Amino acid sequence: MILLMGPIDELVTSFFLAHLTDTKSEYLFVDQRHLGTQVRLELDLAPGPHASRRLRGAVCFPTWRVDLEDISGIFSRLGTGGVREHVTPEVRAERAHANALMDLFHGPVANRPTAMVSNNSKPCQYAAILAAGLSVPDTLAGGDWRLWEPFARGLTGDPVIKSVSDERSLVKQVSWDDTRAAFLPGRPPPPHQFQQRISGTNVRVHVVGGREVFACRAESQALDYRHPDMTGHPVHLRATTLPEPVADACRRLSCALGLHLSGIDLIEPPGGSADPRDWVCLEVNTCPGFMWFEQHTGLPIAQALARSLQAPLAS
Amino acid sequence: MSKHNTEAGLITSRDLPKLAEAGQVAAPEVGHSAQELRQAVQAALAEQWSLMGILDTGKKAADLGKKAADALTDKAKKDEDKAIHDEGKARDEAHKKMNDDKAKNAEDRKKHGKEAASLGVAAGAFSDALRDLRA
Repeated sequence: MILLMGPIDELVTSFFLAHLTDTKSEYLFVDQRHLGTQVRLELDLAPGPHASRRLRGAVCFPTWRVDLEDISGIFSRLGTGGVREHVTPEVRAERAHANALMDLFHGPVANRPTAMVSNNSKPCQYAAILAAGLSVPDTLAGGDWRLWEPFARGLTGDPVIKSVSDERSLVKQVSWDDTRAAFLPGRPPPPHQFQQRISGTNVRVHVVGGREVFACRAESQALDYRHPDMTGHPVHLRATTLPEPVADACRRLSCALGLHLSGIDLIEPPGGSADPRDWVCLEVNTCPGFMWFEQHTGLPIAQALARSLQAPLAS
Repeated sequence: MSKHNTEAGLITSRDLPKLAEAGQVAAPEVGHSAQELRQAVQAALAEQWSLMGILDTGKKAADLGKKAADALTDKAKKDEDKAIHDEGKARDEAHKKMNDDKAKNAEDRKKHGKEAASLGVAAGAFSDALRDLRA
C-alpha cells in the first residue's frame, strides 16, 4: 500500500491520487491538514548492534490504524500548495515526525527530506552534477558585487540572473549596467547567481526509482519556459528519447542525490550529442511538478512512480 | 481557464490564479477504515476537479462529488450537523456580542458627545470671560 501525504487540493497530489483511484491501487492518504490533528504517527526505532534497525510503527487515525509493515512506499507533497492552516506546536511536532518517518522508512520514499536538501543550494548541486558526468554553466554565486562586474563582462552576451536557492524565481537575462543601477548605493545586494546563457534546447528529464527515465523537449523562445505566459512566448512540450549515455548520467545524478523522483533540467547542445559532457544541467528539482509534463506529453510518469512505490519490499 | 485547454484536460500557468480563486477543497473525512477514507478522497477529488472544470462538466462532477459525499457514514453526517449547529450557535453569539458592543459604543459616543458638548460650552464660556477681561 502506498502512503501519500500532502494537501488534497494541491495539483500534483490530486493528480497522483486520481491515478491511484483510476488504477484501483491500494493507498493510504494523509491530508496535510490532518497531520497532528486527526492523524498521528507512531515510530519505534531501536538502533544498536543487536537490535533490529527496521523502523516499526503505524499511521494512527482516531478509530483505526495502519502498520508501517503494510506500507510499501511513500510519496510526499507536504508543504506544497500554499495551504492556509493553523500550525500549532503539536502540528509542528507531527511534521517533524513525518520527516523522521520519511528519512528512516525502509522502503522507497519520493523524496526523503535529507535528499531534498541539495535543492537549497544550487552550487552544492553543481558538484553532484559534475560528478555524474554532465556539465554546468559558468556561474558566479554570492553577494559581493565587486566580483560580479568582471565576471559579467567576461561572458558572451548579457548574464542570466537567477535564485541561488530553492526560492522560485523567474530567470532573467539582464545587462550588467541595468543590474548595477537596480541596487541602491550603500545597501549590499542579496545573493544571486549569475550565469552564462546557454544556447540549445531545454529538455526536462524525470527519473523514477533511479532507473526509469522520461524526457521531454520544451520548445520555446522564452528564457524561462516554465513561465511562458509571463514572457509572452508559447511553449511546446513533446516526449523525446535521450542518448543512452546522457540517460545514464541522469540516473547517476538522481541516485547520487538520493532522490527517488527527480526533475532534471538540461540544455541539449545545438545539433545534439551523445556525450553527457556536452549537455548542460541547470538544476535538479527535488519536488518536481511532473503533472504538467505528463499531461502535455503523455509520458507515464505517475504510473512509473506508483509502480516503483508498490514494489514488494525485501524483508 | 481557456476552453481549449480544459477540454484537453490540460492546465497552463495562466490557469493557476483562477484555480487559486476557485478556493480550497476541505481535507477528506478520515472515516473508520482505509476504504471509507478512500471514498471520501474520491468525493474530494470530484469536487477538486469540478472546481477546475477539467473532468466532465463542472455540474456533473459536482453531482458525483455530492453523491459520494452522501455515501459517507452516518457519523460523518452527524458530525457535520453538529458542526453546522455549533457554527450557527457561535455565529448567533458573535452577532449578539456585536450588537451589544454596538449599543455600548453608541451609548459611549452619546456620553462622550455630551461630555464634549459640555466641555465646549465650558471652553466657550472661558474664552468669553477672557475676552471680557481683555476688553
